[in-house]
Amino acid sequence: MPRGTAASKRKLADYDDSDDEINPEDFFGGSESKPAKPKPKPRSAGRKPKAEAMDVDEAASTPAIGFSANELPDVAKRAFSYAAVHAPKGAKDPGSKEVPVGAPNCLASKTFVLTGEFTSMSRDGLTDLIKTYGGRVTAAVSGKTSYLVVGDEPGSSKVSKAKSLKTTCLREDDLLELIRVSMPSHAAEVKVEPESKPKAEPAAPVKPEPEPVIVVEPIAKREPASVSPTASAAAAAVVSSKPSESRLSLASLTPALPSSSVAHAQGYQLWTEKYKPTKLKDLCGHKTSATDILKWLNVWATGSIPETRAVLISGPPGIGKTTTAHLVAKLAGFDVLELNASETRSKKSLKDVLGSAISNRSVLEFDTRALRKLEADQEKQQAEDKDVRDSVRDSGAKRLVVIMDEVDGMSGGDRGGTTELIQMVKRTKVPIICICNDRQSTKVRSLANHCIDMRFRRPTEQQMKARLNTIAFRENFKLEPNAISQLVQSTHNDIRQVINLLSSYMLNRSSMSYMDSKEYSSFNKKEVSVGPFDVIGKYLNKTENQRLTFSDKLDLYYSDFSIVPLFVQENYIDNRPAGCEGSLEALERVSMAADLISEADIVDNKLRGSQQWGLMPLHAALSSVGPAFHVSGGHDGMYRFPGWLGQNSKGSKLSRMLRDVQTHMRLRVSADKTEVRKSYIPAMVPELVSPLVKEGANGISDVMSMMDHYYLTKDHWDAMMELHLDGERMLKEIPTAVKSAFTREYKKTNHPVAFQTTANATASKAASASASLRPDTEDFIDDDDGGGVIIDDEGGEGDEEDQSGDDSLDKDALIKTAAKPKASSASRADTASGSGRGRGSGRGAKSASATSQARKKRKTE
Amino acid sequence: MALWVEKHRPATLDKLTFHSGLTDHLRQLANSGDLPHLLVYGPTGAGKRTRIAAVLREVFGPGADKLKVSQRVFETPTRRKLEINLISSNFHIEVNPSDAGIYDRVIIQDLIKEIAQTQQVATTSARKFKVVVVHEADALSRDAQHALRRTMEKYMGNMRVILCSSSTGKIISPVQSRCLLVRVAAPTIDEVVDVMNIVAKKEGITVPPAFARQLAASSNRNLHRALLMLEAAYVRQYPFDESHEPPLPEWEEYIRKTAHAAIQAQTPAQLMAIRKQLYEVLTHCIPASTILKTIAMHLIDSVGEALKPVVAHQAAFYEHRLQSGQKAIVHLEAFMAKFMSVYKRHLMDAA
Repeated sequence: MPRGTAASKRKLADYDDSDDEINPEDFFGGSESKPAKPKPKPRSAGRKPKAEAMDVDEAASTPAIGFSANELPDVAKRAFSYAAVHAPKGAKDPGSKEVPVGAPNCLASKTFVLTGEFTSMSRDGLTDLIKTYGGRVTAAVSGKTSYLVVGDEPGSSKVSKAKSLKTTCLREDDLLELIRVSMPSHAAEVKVEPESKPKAEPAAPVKPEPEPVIVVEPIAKREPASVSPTASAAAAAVVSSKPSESRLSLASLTPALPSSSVAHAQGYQLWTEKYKPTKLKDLCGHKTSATDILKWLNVWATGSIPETRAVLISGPPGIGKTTTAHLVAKLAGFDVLELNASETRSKKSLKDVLGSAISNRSVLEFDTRALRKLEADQEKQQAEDKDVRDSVRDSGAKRLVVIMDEVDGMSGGDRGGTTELIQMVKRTKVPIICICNDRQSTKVRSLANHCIDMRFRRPTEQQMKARLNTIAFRENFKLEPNAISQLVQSTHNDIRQVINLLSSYMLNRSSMSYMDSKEYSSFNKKEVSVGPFDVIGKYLNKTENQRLTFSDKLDLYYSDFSIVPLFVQENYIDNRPAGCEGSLEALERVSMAADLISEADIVDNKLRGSQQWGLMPLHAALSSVGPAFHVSGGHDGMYRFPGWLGQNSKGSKLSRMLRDVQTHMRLRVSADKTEVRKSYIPAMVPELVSPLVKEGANGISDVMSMMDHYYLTKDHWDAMMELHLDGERMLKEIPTAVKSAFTREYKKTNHPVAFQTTANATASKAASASASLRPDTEDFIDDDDGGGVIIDDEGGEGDEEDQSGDDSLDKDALIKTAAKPKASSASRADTASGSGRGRGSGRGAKSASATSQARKKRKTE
Repeated sequence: MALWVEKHRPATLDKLTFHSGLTDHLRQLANSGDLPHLLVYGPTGAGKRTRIAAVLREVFGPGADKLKVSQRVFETPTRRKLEINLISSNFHIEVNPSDAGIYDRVIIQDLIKEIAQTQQVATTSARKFKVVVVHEADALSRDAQHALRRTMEKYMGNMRVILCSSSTGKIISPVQSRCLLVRVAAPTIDEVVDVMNIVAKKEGITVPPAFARQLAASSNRNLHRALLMLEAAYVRQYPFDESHEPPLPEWEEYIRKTAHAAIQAQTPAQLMAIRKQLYEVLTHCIPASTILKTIAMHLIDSVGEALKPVVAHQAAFYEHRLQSGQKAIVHLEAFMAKFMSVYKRHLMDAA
């Protein structure tokens, strides 16, 4: 990897040497210092000379800082501890040591590895300190490591590696010393290291004597106070001694630059537009992919049609997919027809819009004068596009390329769009470039089979740095390399977002240091959606809980306000509250949390009952933040998914079954549902079970006669077993043979039925209005057209409830729809079911038992 | 195989044994020819339904006893279909609108209007009106009650409403003012014993008086329960053994164990175990307030004098929360947690 990057960096450097690009090194005097730099050495030998150079340097100004790794005691390998790994590494005694003020960038080009626990700062704090001064922090000791900073209880692998590589080691104090000594002897150390250079050039800028003049000049060209606030005030004082000169020189320079003031005069333009890549080399990454697409387009340009007629570009947002597509099209000399998610792309619209375009030729093809002007413009561009220009001139035609942007966004409104697109891809005479984010989405998967699959990856930090540095120059501000790294990291390599962040940041600031970028990017962090398992962890884990402010914790609730309180309610008892003196306090904390949750339920009832959503913050505090506050600490095992949901549905199910039992028993038992459960079921269930247990198969008839008496079916018998708390145990006591015999017997015999349920009224209207009942409807319909057909009022597209076989009448606009079909259907249901007044007699009891006889008698009364 | 509680239920006003003053009053109403709307309320097992049936019998004659169950379909404004079970005779109809949940207003409106708009056809009865009996009236939503008050007034000529509820607290005052309030109190222990003796005589068994008292006491003055317990005890062992504890319903045993768990150990782990048991009882359709009361009574019996008022106060507090809230488990859990922490502190202070 090292060689590769060095090589590619050199290549980038070549690109940067072009005429109209402003060369950072030139500007900051890098070119002058180039000859003084040692040549890029092979990696393996690189470290030693560097270290020696360092030591020499240090020796020149101060006594050597740091000690050899051999002086460190051997550290035994410790057992792996999950908790230790994930516990945040804090400082033992924060603020005990004074943080010295060093020259800005005094640690530039030095690589540090941290290990162990430090006294005055946490690991993060120390990392920040090093990065502020331009240093690099890595996680493992390697040949490139300049220093290993050792705290208490250093990690064994790092120490052993350092010993084998003979890395210089520093204690915390030594590191602070290193920063402090940089101050007086290196007065003007402000130097931005353009990362496009090879890494091995640290020694030169550190030496003050040979280049006092050169070093001063860069300062003069820089704006004063360009360093972060944490940098020394002394440094600023030193620098500010030359403010007038620097400003003057700066002022003399500004007219030469296309400064932002010029842009202001023209009207403010978005930086993402302003710095849109116009050449292939402006792209951040994707160079090979872009060249491939270019070659593919050239095939089209020659007039022949390649095997695959479409290209699919996929990748995360903000990395340059659309830009690349447009750029490549322009370079190949194609006109662009773009369709994106803001337009309807249903099957019909695609056919309309693209149908002709697929076999379309651009008008410009036939306007040779415009074409020649276009060629003349293009000739001004770079030589590397020569073959493209040639092909354009040769072909003499300006063709069209269709760009389908945001293909995975073809949503519900674009019905049939993807299928239509696939059909088009198969027969198009014009190249199609499709762009999407989610290659795995179902809509895109089928499309991808017909396209050349170009997967764009996120650009690396190195690729982005070149571009960002160029922009920084054009806009005339200072950007620290570590700041770029921080921005790139926090936006997950999204170049568009970084440029936007910089543009808004630079509205009233002129430089960005590492600490600034850290602060700024935390404001603009992409919203990472947290799931409820993460949220509950943040609430119930003491260390995480402490880090968040009250409003942060409220925000966590809002990530999913229905399920987060349930998670809290499920897991709060299991948590071990931190800092409890004894078990009583733990219990009292749990009780306080339980109280809050109970109060939250009342608020919830009001909230949902009368839709008073203004109560939500109160509910958040009572149901989630409050309980978490009381019980946060440690947790054994995983957090559980809320059990309330399952229990609630089980309770509803059993409640329905109970209602059913009570209704069927109603003719015999006059009691409400609760009384049935509390008194009758405990009394009846033993009666329904003990004959089967004691007498086996002989007891079946007793049980059945009792069931018949109460109009209970076998299903009700099962339900009562379930409702009874001991039901399961009692069922086990019945031998399986008896159980199956019971079921068989029951099915064989006839049983009295309390009532017959009517035809299910929720059946589709087609069924209810089917042929058997249709003749009735004519009596009920108040319709001018005799024989009108009932058509659903709520019919929309694809309404499945339309009567089958009536298509012709449905679609015939001249037939009126029936008035009030609902009322008629309701009245039909009424008359069909009735409350037993004269109708529905045929559907009565199906047995010849006494009860049905009695019922018939009743009816005649 | 009929249960004694149903077999020996009094069918007419004459056969009622207790609340004789109330019985006389009802008889007068029934015979007056102009029955007002009634709101019959009282605890469960006191005899509300029995009395309503008896009054209907008195008003309409034996025809009112012939019941049939049917299912009707009602349609809500959102075109949702509701299936409601109705019990009816030729002269009255009984309905439980809380089956419909939030759509009970639709039931009230449609059903009552339909009944009210038709006149009584059967000429055998002297009365012109029909009766609608609404059960679980305190579970009616506000909307349903407002719908009811207007229909009650408007259709007084054709229809009478008898509301049956466990208390008047949840009935809105306009509805209460349109009804005659009939309070059916829980019978005293002596009255329960009387009833049990009558039933025993009819069944041809003898019940020792002490045993009967024991049963009556543990039934909580609920006649359903008393008679069911009597029958269960008879089935288990006859002649009755007085030393036997009357059996508790299985859920009550279960809840007692839960309460006992809280006395035994007071730790968060124990609270988790209790939570499981509470879920179990709740999902098996035992009402949450019953659970709370049973646990509370058991705890009060188990703790020392100093703590009894505290526990009672906490129980009342959380029972009130139960009424205003939705998720019963959180309130029950909070009560148990509070009890545990109070009890533990008490134990530690005493030690």
